[in-house]
Amino acid sequence: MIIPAFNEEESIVATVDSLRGIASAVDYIVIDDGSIDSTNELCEEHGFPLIRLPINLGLAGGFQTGMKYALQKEYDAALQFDADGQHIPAFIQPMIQAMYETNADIVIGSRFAEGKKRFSARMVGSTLISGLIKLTTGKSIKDPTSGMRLYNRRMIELFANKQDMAPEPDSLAYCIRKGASIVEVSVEMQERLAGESYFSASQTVSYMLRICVSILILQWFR
Amino acid sequence: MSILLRVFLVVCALLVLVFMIRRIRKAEIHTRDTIFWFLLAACFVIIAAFPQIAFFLSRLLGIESPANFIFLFVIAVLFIREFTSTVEIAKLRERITTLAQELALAQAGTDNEDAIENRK
Repeated sequence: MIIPAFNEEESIVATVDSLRGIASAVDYIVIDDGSIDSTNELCEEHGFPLIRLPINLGLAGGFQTGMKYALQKEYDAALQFDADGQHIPAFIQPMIQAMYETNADIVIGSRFAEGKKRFSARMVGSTLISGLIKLTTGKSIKDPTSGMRLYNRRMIELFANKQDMAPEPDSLAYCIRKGASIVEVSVEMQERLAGESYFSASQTVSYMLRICVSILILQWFR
Repeated sequence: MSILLRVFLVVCALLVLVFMIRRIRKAEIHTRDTIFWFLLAACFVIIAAFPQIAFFLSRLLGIESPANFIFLFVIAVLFIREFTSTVEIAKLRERITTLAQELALAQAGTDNEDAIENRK
């Protein structure tokens, strides 16, 4: 279980504590992505298993560090889990269950697997990305932007060794085209406890642009 | 091609030369990085000295004035340069990322060993 954290001093302890209570059967590791607040000290104080990156690499680099660690330690599966308290540990077990039952390469903790999307700017973006993935791969993914994803051994190897594989929707499309099977499990999410999202409002436009171009055009040459 | 443009090209070449030599003196850039700029300066001087080249090439490409050809030439060269720079930066970023990750993983490895040692 990989928890990338960048300046998450307000939420990291609560997040990891909540997860230790419920999902005690899984190992976890915090990836401190060169935080400049007390995230690092807090993790050491509480004895959380920690990998500290000397510089800030961004979500993709931090997450990949976790994947490399998982590969080194020969884990069968790795879960991407947010440090900001958005993700709820109670839904981890159903996701693992789903992976066992369906033999999927990637299990997505999906907010919209059942039920409708609430209308908001974020949902419009999400729907657009879903549409693009459907268009280019023929597969329907209801919640491509969910940050709660479980990867099997094959995907761990792929993400650890291949550069330019951010844990983002365009990589999902890439994996599907490479023959990965993806299953969605219905989960709930909370509002973030604290901390800044990797995507601030001003970055959202450039994020959408990058993902759309990547899925529509660049994907075919990767 | 006016005499003014030719003088301008030579002045540009001299400026590039002076700028590069100052940077090399201060050891701010490596000699191998300057080769491109010296070649560009040399091109300016050659075109200034032999404007026939610009005339010939602009006729060949159907460009009305040689001055326009020079603009096009410079823009094209800079485009290529910018593109190779982008590739270079991407390579460097990838290397830094890998270095940081390997360092962090190695560090985490020794920390864990220490923790196990301490527990004994």
